[in-house]
Amino acid sequence: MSSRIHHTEVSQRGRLGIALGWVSLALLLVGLLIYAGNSIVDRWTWAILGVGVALGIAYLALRKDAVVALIVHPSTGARANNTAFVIGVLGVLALCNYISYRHYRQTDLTKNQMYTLSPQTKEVVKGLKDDITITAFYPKSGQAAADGDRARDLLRQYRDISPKIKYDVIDPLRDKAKAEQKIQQSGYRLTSYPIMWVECGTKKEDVYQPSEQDLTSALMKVTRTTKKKIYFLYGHGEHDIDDAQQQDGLGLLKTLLTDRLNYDVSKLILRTVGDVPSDATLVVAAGPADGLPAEDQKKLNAYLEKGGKLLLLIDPRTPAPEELLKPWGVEVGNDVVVDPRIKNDCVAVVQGFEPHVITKNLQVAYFRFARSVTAATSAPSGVVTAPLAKTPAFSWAQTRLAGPYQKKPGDKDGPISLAVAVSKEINGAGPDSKEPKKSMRMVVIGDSDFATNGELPADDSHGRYFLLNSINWLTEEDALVNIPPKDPDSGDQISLLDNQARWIFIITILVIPLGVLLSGVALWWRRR
Amino acid sequence: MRNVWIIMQREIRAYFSSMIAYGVTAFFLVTCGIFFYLTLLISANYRQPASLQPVFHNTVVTLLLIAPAITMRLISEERRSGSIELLMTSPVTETQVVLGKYLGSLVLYAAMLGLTLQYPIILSRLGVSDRGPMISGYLGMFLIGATLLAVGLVASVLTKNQILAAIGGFTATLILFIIGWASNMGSTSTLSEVLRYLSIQDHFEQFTKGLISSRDVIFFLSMIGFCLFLSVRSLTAVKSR
Repeated sequence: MSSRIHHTEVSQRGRLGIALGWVSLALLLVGLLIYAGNSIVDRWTWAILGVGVALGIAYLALRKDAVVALIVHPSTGARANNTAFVIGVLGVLALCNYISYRHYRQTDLTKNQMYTLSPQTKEVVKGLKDDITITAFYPKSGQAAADGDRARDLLRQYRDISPKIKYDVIDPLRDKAKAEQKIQQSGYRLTSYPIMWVECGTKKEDVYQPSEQDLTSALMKVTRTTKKKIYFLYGHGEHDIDDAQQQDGLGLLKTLLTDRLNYDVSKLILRTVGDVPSDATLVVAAGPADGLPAEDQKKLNAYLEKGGKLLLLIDPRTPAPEELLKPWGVEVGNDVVVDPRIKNDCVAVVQGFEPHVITKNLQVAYFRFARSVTAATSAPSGVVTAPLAKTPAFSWAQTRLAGPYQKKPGDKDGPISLAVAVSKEINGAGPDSKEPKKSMRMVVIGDSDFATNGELPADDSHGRYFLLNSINWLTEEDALVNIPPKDPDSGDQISLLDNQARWIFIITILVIPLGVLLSGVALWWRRR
Repeated sequence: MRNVWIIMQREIRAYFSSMIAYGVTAFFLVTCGIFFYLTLLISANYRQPASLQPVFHNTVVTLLLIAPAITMRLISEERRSGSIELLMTSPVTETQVVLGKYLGSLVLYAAMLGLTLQYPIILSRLGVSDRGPMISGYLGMFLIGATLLAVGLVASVLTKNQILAAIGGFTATLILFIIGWASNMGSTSTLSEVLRYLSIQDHFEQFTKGLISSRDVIFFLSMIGFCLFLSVRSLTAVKSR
């Protein structure tokens, strides 16, 4: 729009044309900015753009000769060629990026293979016999876009393992027609998104988080024909599974077991029944504060001897159920376990679980007011007892349950075992019997508070996974045990002593940068 | 390639014989050191997992200033002093000049990054065993730094004034950083998807998590390649004038 090409004096008409040209450019820019901000073109935007175009035409009319001269000038051709070449290269790069966006390979360098499917999930998916349809509703922009990408990555990995899985990712904002078509076909209502519908035949499960564990759980739920039954004992002072409000209720745990893991959960008052019901996959005694009467212990033993499964969460101060535990080689201490790092409280910290299928990939968990649970020195014949969780060597167990929680002579030094797993093959009719082999399983943990609404930690806690893994192991849901908690926030914790922090500060912020600066000064001095 | 090597060596000598490189490196190390120290304190005091991810995220923001500072004098200083004519009349091509100067700035950046390897060493001594995200994080840092240097080089070719080159480089890198935010403003068009793909931070994020994805590597290499190509074309235009 300048007169640079001819370097001649510009007439008044020409100057007017130049001014109109700049105003036209400014108006077009403003119009585009308004469109970019509002995403719609209202009548005022149209007016601004229209005036901008009109003024642009006026510029061309008033500066016709200059514009023609610019076009026919030899350097213009060269510039046009150059521009075309640049656009061509840009186009090729854009195409390469588009292809790599659609077809890419990824290497997961995280220790827990955070972004790679676990062997357990691969086994579940390979074993699918029915067709599974997964529809994910994720917007491609906004807050949920990153979750949408994660969902796409996950679904692609699942589909790569088994052709039985078919999936579609629909943007409910952009692809409204496609979303409505899917809703009509399925007969379900889309009440909220983001969400994934996992369908198999007439069964459907909703998945809200694009996580491997949730998706694999949903696959198992829609392909399973029967639900496993868990009975929670009641009547001995246990935590209430129907209580979702109080801090000491177990409502949150019940929700996890029914919604996420597809168990059927009920209360059981042992006094009202002769035996443990035959449909019980697992019996849970969650903190029987009043202790278990001898008669109930006998019923539980009879259940275990027939291949039953029991989870016992037993707090300090609760009378130890000796009749129940002695035949299986388990001892509970009349003590509390203390970690000196937690001041003014009685908390046992497990930092590194014992090797067992339940505890693989688990790292740190906290148990407030917990007692010791150990394997007896001589285990009964055929019983396999394995410790699950031990506290560090600097912890201790003391019999002063009310405190103070300070180490005194006579206290038992750590490491202290807080939980054990017990199993035993139950003899059937004989080696040639066609009946499936049974085994009893039991997990005893010296604390029940960590399972309650108030202390059952958030989704990503290893204490929560310890509890759920124990339940899945007891119910022989081995495929669900050890789908590792793929928690982006899990990792190695550190402790920093004061002098360590000081040295790190001195070295990283003072010594090394100053060393670099002094090297520069020395060089400058030498060159002087 | 010999010419590229000679020009690269010349640039490295120029950098390390001037106080600017040492000053910029010291500034870089101090800011990274502060981020690292604070990260350790937060991890230890709040019982959070310790990693270099916060350090990487914060350090990348300092590259907004560091990259233009490194590249501002690469070509613009030569244009201002007139030595570019001498360079252009010697038997070197524009491509060799651009590559040599770019590689010289890359070596300086690599040296700066190398001095931060003290952080993963310290973390390992403190018991952090997950080294994968550290390795991929450093690869991401190298690629994003290399990309910002290439962007700064384009700005340096386009002007004789170092200050303008620095401002231009800073503005261009800032746009690349914030471009992804525009895609999250509720728009659902194809444009917002493209903008999201162009977000340099989104690609970098994957490296800090421990993922090395071919599409992120190709993105950075494409950006570097395109910027170097633009620099060559611009330098050719300067020469022809």
